[in-house]
Amino acid sequence: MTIVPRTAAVRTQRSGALPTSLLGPHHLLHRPQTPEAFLLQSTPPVPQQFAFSAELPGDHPLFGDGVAAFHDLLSAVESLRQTAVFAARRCFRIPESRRMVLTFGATGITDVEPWRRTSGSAQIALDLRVAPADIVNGVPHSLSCGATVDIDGRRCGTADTRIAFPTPLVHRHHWNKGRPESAHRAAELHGAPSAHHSPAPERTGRRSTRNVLIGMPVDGVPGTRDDGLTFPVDVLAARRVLPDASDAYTTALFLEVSRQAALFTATELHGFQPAHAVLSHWQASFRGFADPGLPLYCTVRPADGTAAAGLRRDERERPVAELRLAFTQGGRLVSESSVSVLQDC
Amino acid sequence: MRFRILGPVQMTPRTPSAAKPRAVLATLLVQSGSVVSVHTLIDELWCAEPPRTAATTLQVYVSQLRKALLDGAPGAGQPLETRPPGYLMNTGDGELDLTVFESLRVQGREAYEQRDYAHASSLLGQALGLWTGAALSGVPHGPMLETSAVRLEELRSEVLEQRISADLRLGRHHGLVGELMALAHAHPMRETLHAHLMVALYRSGRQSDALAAYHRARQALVDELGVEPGPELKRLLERVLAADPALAWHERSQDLPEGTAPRAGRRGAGTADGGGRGTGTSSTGTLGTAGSGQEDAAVPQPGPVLWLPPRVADFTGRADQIALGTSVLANAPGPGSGDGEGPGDGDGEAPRVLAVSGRAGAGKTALAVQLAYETAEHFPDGRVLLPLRDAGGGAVDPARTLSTLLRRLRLTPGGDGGAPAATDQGQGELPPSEGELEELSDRVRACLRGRRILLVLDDAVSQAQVRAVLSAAPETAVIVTSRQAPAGVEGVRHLPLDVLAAPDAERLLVSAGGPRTARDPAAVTEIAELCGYLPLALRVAAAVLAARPHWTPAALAVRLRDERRRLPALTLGDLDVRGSLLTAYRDATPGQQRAFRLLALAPRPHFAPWSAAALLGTGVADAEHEAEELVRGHLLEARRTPGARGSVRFGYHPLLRSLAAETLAEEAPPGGPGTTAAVARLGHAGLALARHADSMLAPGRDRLAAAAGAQGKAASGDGWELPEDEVRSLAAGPPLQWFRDEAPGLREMVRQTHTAGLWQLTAALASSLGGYYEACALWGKWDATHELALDAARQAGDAHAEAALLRSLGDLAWQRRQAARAADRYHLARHFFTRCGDAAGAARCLTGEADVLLGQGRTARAEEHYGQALETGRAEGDARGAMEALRGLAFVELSRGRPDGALSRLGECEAAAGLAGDTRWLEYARRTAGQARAAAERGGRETSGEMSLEVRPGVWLIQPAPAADIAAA
Repeated sequence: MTIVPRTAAVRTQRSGALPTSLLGPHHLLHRPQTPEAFLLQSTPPVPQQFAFSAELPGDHPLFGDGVAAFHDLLSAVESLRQTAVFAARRCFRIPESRRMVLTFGATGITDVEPWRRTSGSAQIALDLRVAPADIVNGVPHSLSCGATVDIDGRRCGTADTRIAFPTPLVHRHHWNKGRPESAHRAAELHGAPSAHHSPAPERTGRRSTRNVLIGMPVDGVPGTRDDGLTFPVDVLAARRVLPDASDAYTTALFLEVSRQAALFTATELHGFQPAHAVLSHWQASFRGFADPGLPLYCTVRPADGTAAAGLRRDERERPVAELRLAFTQGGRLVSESSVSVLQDC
Repeated sequence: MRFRILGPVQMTPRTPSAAKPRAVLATLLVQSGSVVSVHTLIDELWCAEPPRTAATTLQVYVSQLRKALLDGAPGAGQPLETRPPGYLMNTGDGELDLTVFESLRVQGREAYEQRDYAHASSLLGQALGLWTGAALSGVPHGPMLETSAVRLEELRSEVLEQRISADLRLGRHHGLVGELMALAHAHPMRETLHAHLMVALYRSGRQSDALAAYHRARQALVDELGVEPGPELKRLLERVLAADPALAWHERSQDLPEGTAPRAGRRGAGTADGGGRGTGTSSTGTLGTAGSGQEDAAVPQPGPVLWLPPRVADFTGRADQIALGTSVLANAPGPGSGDGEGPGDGDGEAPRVLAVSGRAGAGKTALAVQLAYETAEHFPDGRVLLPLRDAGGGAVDPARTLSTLLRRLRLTPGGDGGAPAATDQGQGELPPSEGELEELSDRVRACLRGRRILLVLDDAVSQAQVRAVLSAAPETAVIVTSRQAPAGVEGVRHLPLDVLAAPDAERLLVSAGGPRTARDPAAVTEIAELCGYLPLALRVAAAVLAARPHWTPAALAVRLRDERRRLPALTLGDLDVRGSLLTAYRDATPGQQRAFRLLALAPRPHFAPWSAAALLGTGVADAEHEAEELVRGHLLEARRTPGARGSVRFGYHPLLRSLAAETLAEEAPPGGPGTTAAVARLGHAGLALARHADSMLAPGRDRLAAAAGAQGKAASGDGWELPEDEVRSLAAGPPLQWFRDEAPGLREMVRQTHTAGLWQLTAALASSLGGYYEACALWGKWDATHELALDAARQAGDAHAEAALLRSLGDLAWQRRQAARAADRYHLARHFFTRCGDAAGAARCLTGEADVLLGQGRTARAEEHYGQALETGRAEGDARGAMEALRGLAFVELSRGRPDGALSRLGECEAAAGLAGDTRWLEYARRTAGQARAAAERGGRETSGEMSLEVRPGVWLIQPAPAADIAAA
């Protein structure tokens, strides 16, 4: 066992090593509510509270590559996910054999100011509450997690997730059910547009082409709506730049693709400037597994169906694009999300 | 001849058809009996551009007029005379409508001033009846006719308003509403008309329409003239909002019989000009003996009596209370059901007295009135409300109450129907005729016998008041409202009334406040909460919004958030929440008032009896007794905390806390010796308890407590202190739970002692909280209290306190992964500890610095620091310090891949924890040793995945897996 922090792992690797996590070493503190939790770290399957603190990544190859100078919203989601994993194993004794499946995720910015990058490091802190559910023999089958987000001591966001921990049998069943359904229509997808033609990175909020995870919008993809822009997801690019994206679609992938597609769409529909646009709200529900071997598409349309209806103004009269996203694979809906893009001005 | 100018200019039998002659006629009639010069007539006809033949033409017109006048009244003489320098028109009595109008106007005004409203209304109505259109219409107007028309129209308006006023005094409000609406629409700038309309609507039970009328008037004035309504209209608005009983009209149940009904003005119910009272003239006759069957023809037949204020238009909530009250009143025994000796006598008899009790402003009177209206069918002979508290807040004498009751039952000389005065006592009324309570009681009993009447005794102050009426009305159903439930009265059903439930409170705000409040539900929720859900406060808040359309609900919420501005914000004319709450305060004894004031310094939202003891400078039991007395007087609230400990805690209603703070500031200004001494006592008590709890939570942690223990415990400046055994007793039980209950109050004590300049106490209090904040990672509160306390330590020049607080802040920064800040604070704290000669404290800071170094991968340097800290800790006998250093050394061993060395150090750490008495650290050492053993059994094989390590109890360091090589992928 070593406790030497691997902070160096988060820094830009001259050797090209890919960071395995968005966050570097961090502290997670359990807030005891009972005498046994205080003295013995003994926790029954009831809601538990935590505090989380970490340094926000300064120069991650992907999340430090934004044209707009904002900290990444994924930091909050990732912090919550890390805490949930820890709580699942340590506090609620969910076996390692149970895989973690995200069923719902949401995060939002309540105050834009702290999210703006400045020179020097920034600290993210979360107040978290993790509540077990579907408890069988003292072991929960799902967790609900909620958190408030502070950056450098200023309250500025929220994050929520729901995570399921199905038994291996159930997990396999769902996986096996989903794949044939997608594969059934795989033939229809043969020849469907792929992500070979990528937009300019600035249109997706990135500087490097390497970090563009979507292709140009395409038409005629079976199973997708035709009242929005449909983007093929560049799975190969995602594997190269996202941590843990090797064998399954992860939260990070869905959030990053949602951001890029939403920014592109907001630019198209409302003339937003990507260098001043930030994802201010993301809420997604996941319907099933996405097979890594099959094409994945993301369709973006304005909320309420019309371009005009999808644009509102916040309390400071800044424009906010409200968008709806649908991820499909072989015509099967994998995830739906609602996203807000704020033009910071 | 008949001449008309109050409308189209006419002359009967024949009006000149040409306009100019008619204009001449009109000009002369306006000045009837006075000479009108030729020049005036020429100016009137041709204004600034008379023709060259104007004089001649005028003569022609005059000649035509003379001919017409003679034709109209042959043989009567020529009324149109030539009188240099012009002409004069003579009109006989009654010939000119203007003359008749002015005569009727004067007579009507005189009748009004003599309060003969019926006659006044008749005369003024006749005057108005003379009008057939706009004054002087049908002729071209020059300057004189223009001016005269304006003057005449103004006179007409005055007469109309006075007639309406007379009609209102006669109770004709229902019939006036339509006319007034049309007039208000036609004359939007005339505030008097709008005021009359508001009164008519209010008396017709249309309170909300009355408010709407105000707002229309205001809008018109603002739009057209840019001014707000005048003070009289605003005052009327306030009275409508307050449902002022003096503004109401109370109908007589029936007219007095012929020959006995005086043609006198009825008792005035108050009008837009601020009310007034009619002088009811007597109906003669003696009282008949009730039930004798022999009734004096001069005595009016008793009929249903209704003497209630209008019910609140938007009565909200209280469904359960209404149901209960209705049930009690509906089933109350009626006349003849008992032997009349007392209330509710006889076993099993349903109660006939409903006692509604609760704090000031809870809506007791509104509930009682609502019940009185809703149970009308059960009381066919009438319902009467009697106020038992006078305008000065004192108790009304029982004899006067009985006298008032008799009068309202119209069975005493001077009895008259109509509206009650706002307070119906001692304002020009007749004193009790025989003045003996017993005789009055007999008379009341006699006239109530056999009648099913409901009495509402409102705002009772004493038992004696209630008993006097109950004795006199043994068979009558009674509702009594009072602050405290009447004790010692049999046959009473008690109905305690608390504040509204939150949803009802919000509904009340929306219904009373109008559409603007409905559009901001978040502000409504906050306003309701800040008003403590007290109905009076909610109504005043709604009234404030209604009277100030430029205020948004959110703006009112902002004002209410500030405790110092809360009560002033809830004031609108006579609607004054503060005044209502003050009555409860004034009812308390001087000692209770002092306690009420001082306890405003207690922690919020609730405080334990020990806090009260400290503030009052007494023992805990005495303080608890004082607090219970305040609860009984509705000045404090009590609640039992959940759980097995189940102790009682006290708190204020939000508005009463504001009042307490205000009265305290008046009696003992902030920063004064009295307040500072109380804060000091409170701080010392909190410190003693917190240190005791902290010593169980993290034994030996607090260096300031250790130093204080060595020096002996310090009491507050005036010598008061919490006895040691009470400290142990009060802080018994799980320390974590104790801190959870008391930490908010302790944090507030830190602020209070800092404000009071009690620097060392501030630093000590904050330091005693450090262990709890650290254990529960309450970063925000930890930071805030310790930064404040650090300032206090610096103000006091207390280096030791500064050291302890800096070290704690170093722990905070370390928990937050703020390595540089943590290192700085530990370093500075070490410097101060060393300066004070606290080697153990300095050694602990060295351990903190080592933790930072170890986290940065500077293992060798960390090891040096740990080693030095361990040596010093052992030398100083600081088991806790040694314990922390040994943990660090164990991690150094682990980082070097030496699990056996780590296990050895963890064993020593466990032993040190045992010596220190810290079970948490002891278990932590064992857990960590278990993990080290597991790692050793894996043969030191490094895992390549994410790693987690419990670096301090409950604090985990999570490290991501090593970076993957892209090229390899």
